[in-house]
Amino acid sequence: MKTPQISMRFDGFQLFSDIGIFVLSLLAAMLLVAGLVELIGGDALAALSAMVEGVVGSRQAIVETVIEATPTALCGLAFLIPFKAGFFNIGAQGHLQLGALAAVFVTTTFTLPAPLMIPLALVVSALAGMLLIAPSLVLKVKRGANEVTTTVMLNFVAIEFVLAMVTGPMQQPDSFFAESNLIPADYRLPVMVVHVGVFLAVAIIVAAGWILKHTVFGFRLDALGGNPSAAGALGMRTGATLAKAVLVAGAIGGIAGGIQALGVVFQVAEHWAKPWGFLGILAALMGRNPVGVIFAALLLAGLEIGGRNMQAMTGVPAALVFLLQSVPVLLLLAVRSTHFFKMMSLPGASR
Amino acid sequence: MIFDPEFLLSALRIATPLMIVALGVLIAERAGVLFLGVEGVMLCGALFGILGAVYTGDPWMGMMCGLAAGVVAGLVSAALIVWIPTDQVVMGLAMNIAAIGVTSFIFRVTADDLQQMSPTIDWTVPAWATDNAVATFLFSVPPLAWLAIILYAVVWYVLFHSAPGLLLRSVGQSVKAANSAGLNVPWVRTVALAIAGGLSGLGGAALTVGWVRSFSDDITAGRGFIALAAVYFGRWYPRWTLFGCLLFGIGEALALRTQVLGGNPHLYLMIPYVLTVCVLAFAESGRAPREVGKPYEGR
Repeated sequence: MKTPQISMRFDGFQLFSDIGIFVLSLLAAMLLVAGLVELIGGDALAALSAMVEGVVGSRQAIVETVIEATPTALCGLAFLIPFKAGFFNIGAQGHLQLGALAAVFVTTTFTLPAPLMIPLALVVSALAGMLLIAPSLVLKVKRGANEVTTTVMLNFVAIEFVLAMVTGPMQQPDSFFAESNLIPADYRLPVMVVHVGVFLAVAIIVAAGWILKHTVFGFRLDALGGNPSAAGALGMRTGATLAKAVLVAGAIGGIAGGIQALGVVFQVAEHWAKPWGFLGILAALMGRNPVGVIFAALLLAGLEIGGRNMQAMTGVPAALVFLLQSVPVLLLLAVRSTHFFKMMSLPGASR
Repeated sequence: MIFDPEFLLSALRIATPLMIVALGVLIAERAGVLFLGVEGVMLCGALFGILGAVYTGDPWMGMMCGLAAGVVAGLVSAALIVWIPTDQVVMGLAMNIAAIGVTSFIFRVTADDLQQMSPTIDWTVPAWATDNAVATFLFSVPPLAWLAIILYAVVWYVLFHSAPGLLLRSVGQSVKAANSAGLNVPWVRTVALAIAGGLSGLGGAALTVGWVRSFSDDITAGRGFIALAAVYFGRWYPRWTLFGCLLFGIGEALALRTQVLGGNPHLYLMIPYVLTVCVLAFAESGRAPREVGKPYEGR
């Protein structure tokens, strides 16, 4: 009976140290940014307060932050699930692009009652994401090709394909710009304070969290990620387990794009997507579990929205936001990886 | 005729930065480091290259600044992924985002000085050569392309025909064996990353100083990843990597000519990526340096 108590104590300590390290990392990054602002002769205090103001200053700001966090959180989940099984999915940006394109294609081409059309569009988005991740999966399992490389390549394939579509067959007629038709008003996601895609995303993430923690499938992923050969030797069908995790990730990435298209941008165009796929990876590494990913995504989105306000109010370049987003993660991972903290948080904290 | 000298020159011009960066990636990978932060390092080289060229008025000084910035960024990568060590993939991606922040910020601060274009690095064709088509072509090849080709010859020789090259490759193939043989794995990787960073920075500077002659936010736009693709395309051999870079250059040069060719430019831009995935699919696996991507924790 003693063992679980010890492990719980360790878990508690680990959680505390994780949040502690993170807060310190964020503070360090803010100090760095404040220093840079002072260096160029700006007012650091005004800049940082404008930033905070931009995130929590008004109801509208909070709504914007939540909407901005949604694709990041879903992409984070698309990284996290296969990551558990030892598969690095860097392709969320591509899944998102292709998923959005698919949703726009379906909604601007066909006519159906809206209650049928919106789910259909999201399903097609998910399929698009799965289609794009499938080659990486097959090559990894059958040929041993490194998935980092293939998913990065397929990102570019997806981005170029979207550009080819919006400058070719799917370009808005008479438009000078590389942009698709707008999704008809009927087929856009209904808005209840925020568009319903946000609630869908939260539902997906919470469900994923439950599945990873409380089902056999989640356990299998952990086993596979921990030691693939042991999992195989114990009779687990490792290929099938990995395939499920990876395809689900592709689907989630696709849905992230579908939600963004149906709920926020209503079209795909040149440069329509921010690097949500890559921010999602940062969110996944900070959050480490699906619910943690939500909070990490909110933080990253808050920095983005706050940074815009900072630039508008004080003229300090919003480019600094990239530093605020990445430096805490760098520090967090660096500290987490050092020998000392590995010793302190032994059980289940290999990364 | 599509494949006229003009076309070849434009393909070569596009391929030159890729060639230099890919060489850096090749060295890092041969030492067993997955150098995903190359995009960020290249971006730093691109910015500091143009700053050096504008402030000193000499494009070659700009190239040196790019090189120096790359070495520093490479050493930072080494500190994070060799000495701590953290996960190579994750750290690389986070560093790319950080690099966008740093370079965009410095660019905003110095934007007033960067209004002008940097001085050109290209040779003018001397008067005696203008009548001779071959001589004209050779003088029109950007000097940096010649530099890149020389660098390939040097790296090929050092990697495959010298003792230090053998040490470097052995670290990438098996850290255990290298360690037993008395090699200091972290130091070999640190040196490899310094060289890789330097070449990536030089390649970034080749993009801005040697070609575009100005800077804009995120100007590399994924070229670091293309260089990575070229290395995988080339199965970690310099000559095939060089070929891969030229293929990307040709793809992009074709995309610039779609008015003549017909078709959608973005479909041409897609070809090299699809080809890389196909190469990964059909090439025998197991050729890759075995230790790529694995942190060395044997200290």
